[in-house]
Amino acid sequence: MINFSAIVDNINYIGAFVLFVIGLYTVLTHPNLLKRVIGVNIMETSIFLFFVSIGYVRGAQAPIVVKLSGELIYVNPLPSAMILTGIVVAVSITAYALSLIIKLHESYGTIELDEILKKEGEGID
Amino acid sequence: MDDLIVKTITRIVVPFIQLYGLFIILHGHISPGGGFAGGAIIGASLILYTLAFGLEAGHKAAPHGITSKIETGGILWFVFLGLIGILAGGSFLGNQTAGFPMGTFGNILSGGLIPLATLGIGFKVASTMITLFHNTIEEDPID
Amino acid sequence: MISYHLPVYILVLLLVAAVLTPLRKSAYSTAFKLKVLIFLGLALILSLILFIDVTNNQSFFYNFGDWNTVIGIEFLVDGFSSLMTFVVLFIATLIVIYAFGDIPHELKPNQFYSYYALIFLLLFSMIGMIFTNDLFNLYVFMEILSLTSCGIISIKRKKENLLASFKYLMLGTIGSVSILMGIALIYMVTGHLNMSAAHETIASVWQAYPRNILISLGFILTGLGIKAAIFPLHIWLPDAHSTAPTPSSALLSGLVVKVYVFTMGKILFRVIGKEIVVAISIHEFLTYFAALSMIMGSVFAIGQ
Repeated sequence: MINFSAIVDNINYIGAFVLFVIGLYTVLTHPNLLKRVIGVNIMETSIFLFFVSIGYVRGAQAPIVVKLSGELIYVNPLPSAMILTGIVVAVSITAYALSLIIKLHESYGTIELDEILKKEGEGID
Repeated sequence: MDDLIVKTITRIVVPFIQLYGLFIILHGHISPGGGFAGGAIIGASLILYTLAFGLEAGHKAAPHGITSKIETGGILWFVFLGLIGILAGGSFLGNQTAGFPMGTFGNILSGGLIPLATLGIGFKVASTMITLFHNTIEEDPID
Repeated sequence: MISYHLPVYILVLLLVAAVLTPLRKSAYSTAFKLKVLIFLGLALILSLILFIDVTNNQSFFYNFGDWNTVIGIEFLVDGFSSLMTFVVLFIATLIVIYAFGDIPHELKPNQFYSYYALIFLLLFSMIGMIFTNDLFNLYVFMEILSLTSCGIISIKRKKENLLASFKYLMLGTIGSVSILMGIALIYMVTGHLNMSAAHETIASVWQAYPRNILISLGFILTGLGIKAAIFPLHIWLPDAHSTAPTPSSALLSGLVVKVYVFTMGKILFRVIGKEIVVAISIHEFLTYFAALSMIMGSVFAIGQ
């Protein structure tokens, strides 16, 4: 008997793992280089989802202190601060990978991995 | 691109985008945002200017000499703030123990070290984004 | 003591050198090489002083910003980390001295300064990874290291360099994301990011949530295995090392790959602890994979 309430309560974590596997499959097998960069982005998004949903406290407020509010329960702000740094890292990796793809396209003329390997195999360097 | 509507709207909107980015940088310790987000917004405004007016106008607005000096200056400013902490007897990047003025809670001029460091980070991120964009667009021959 | 701030001085020296290098406009002359050697030599001498001081006195924790242990980031400076820092800086000085003569043959003249800036950032992130005692700080330094080591391969604009660097970047990012997933799983059950603080609570966590610790160890070891090129996950290594410029290849195979093995040792023994590692018998698996790497490396080399 499937325990529906356990699945619905933890749907964030299940979604994060499903996205992780989808991104991993795309990076490892897709022939187009641009889709591989998108696959890496999907993997990193799944990690961010997992991290942020760790810090959630049910029935609590956003962690911004408004004056004259007294003692309240706040959501844990530490995972969100870590994910800010993680997003910057993901953006810089994507920027670097895209500039590499531009240079690869200039020198090979294509961005499909099988055609690049065919040109590598038959060309003289 | 040579579209008249895009050029006019860009010329009107870019100062407001930069003002909003500066607001997010300065209020980094009170509300969400901070250095990265504010710097990305200012960088995006410069990218919009380059896209609407072409590469030469973009180079005149953000020349390479100035952006490389802002990048270096951002990191040197951050390291200098950290070394103040060592000179005053605490550890690197010490805040209250290094004697930075704390101020009252909820103002802009509070929190000691944090607004100064956020300013450095914000300008550095903006100049990095515009440098990356110009380097990606310029064509340079490969041998 | 005089050397309490020495780890920070080494890191600051390398970072300032990395940032000041691209501003130069003058030609590539002996004055520039002398300045690079001065910065590196100063860092090497400081790390030697730190190593001698730590072995005579005791090891210490360095808290950034004077925050206490649970909230802030700290560096653990003991004999292991200061010895590794000295070895890394010594080998890097030798490689940079070799690179002075070799770089004009491989790169175009307007790329020389960028190459040295990348090398300084690489050394900065490696020393940060060796010293740190905080799991997320480890991840940040690991990403800086991954990007700069891809940078020193692809700086040589030939076609096969670009392809090898792209493959290294993709596989390296898969490794980093796996390690971050493992760190998230450890943070989820212990509530601490500090390695020493997580170690104190891990004994009770192992009774309550054994599956979390197992999955997180699986992710972390897979990610570190991709980046350290252990046997089944080493496919990016031959392309990246054969096409790179020679000093980059020396830096990569000699230093970068080994720092990840140090990190594996740090995580396994400082966070998880010896009892749990022996109970899961991870050390047997690691021994099998290490032996397989050595044998398969020789087998593939014969086939060439």
